[in-house]
Amino acid sequence: MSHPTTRLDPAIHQPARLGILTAACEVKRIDFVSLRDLLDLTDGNLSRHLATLEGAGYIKIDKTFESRRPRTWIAATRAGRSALEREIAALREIVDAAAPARRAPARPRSAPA
Amino acid sequence: VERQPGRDEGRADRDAHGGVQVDAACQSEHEMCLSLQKNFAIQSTVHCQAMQAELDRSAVSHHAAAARLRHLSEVRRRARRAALAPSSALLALGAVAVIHGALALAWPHAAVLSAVWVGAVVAVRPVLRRARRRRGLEAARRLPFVCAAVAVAIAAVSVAAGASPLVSAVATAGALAASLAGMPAIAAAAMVSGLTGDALVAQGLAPAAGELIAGAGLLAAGLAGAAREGGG
Repeated sequence: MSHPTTRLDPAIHQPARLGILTAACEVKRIDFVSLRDLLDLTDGNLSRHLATLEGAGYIKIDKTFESRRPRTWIAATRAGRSALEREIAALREIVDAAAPARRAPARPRSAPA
Repeated sequence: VERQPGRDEGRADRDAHGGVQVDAACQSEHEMCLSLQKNFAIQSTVHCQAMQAELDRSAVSHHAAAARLRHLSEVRRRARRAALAPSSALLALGAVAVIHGALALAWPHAAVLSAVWVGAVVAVRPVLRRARRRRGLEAARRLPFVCAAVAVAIAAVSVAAGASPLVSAVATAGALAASLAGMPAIAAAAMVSGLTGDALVAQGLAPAAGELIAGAGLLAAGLAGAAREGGG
């Protein structure tokens, strides 16, 4: 079986992108401004990350006009939800793999001759 | 091959190994990348996105993974709080219980109460839809559905136990929403309100009075939650 680090997805491993996908998976859809405020990101930063995630096929971006004002809605795709589940599983595996090593008692030193 | 050779040395290493087509190899076969990582020193002169990604991932310690998981649950909690709006839900549910209790006390007539229920649902639906659009976030159906399903189940149990089904249902729904949104104290306050109302009804108090008491408790919990959310 491969090491869990090899199963981490570079498209969503970055913290901001992980946050974007997590937020998108928790709701049906969320607009750009709400997502920006939720994650404390700047407009430009969020746009770049959204483009990366859209390129990977993990989110769907829908640009609409409401009351003559542009509004961008973001929704997670099925592939995005699966990718997030895999990422969480891999991260949990990494944490769990280190847990027994941390719990194991220190090897006793051999007595001096 | 020595570890961490200089730039020119690294280029020489690649030439010495028959000019390995690193980019092509990585694109076509991911395993090749892993093997290269094991056997060659990774240098900045090697341009391979897959290999760089592999290096980034291999640098993930359990501390970093735990930090990512914490970040993830914090984002999830914030998104759920924004989606479920537990304080608003508690205020609305408390208002429903208080209005229902007051009407039942003032004029205990089933037809009037039914008309009030239907009117409330009809009036509130478009308001809720508009509010949701303005909020810039549409909640997934899963979470409200879970809250409603558990509330209905608890209401059925409370009928069997002789308590007020309305009090049990609204208190459970509010408490569950607050709990899912990561507000355990508010959830506990909502549960205590519901249990107090139910206990008083079970001891012989009029169900309408129990609804008033539980509704007031839910309103207080909702106000406390709103104050907490406002304070960050």
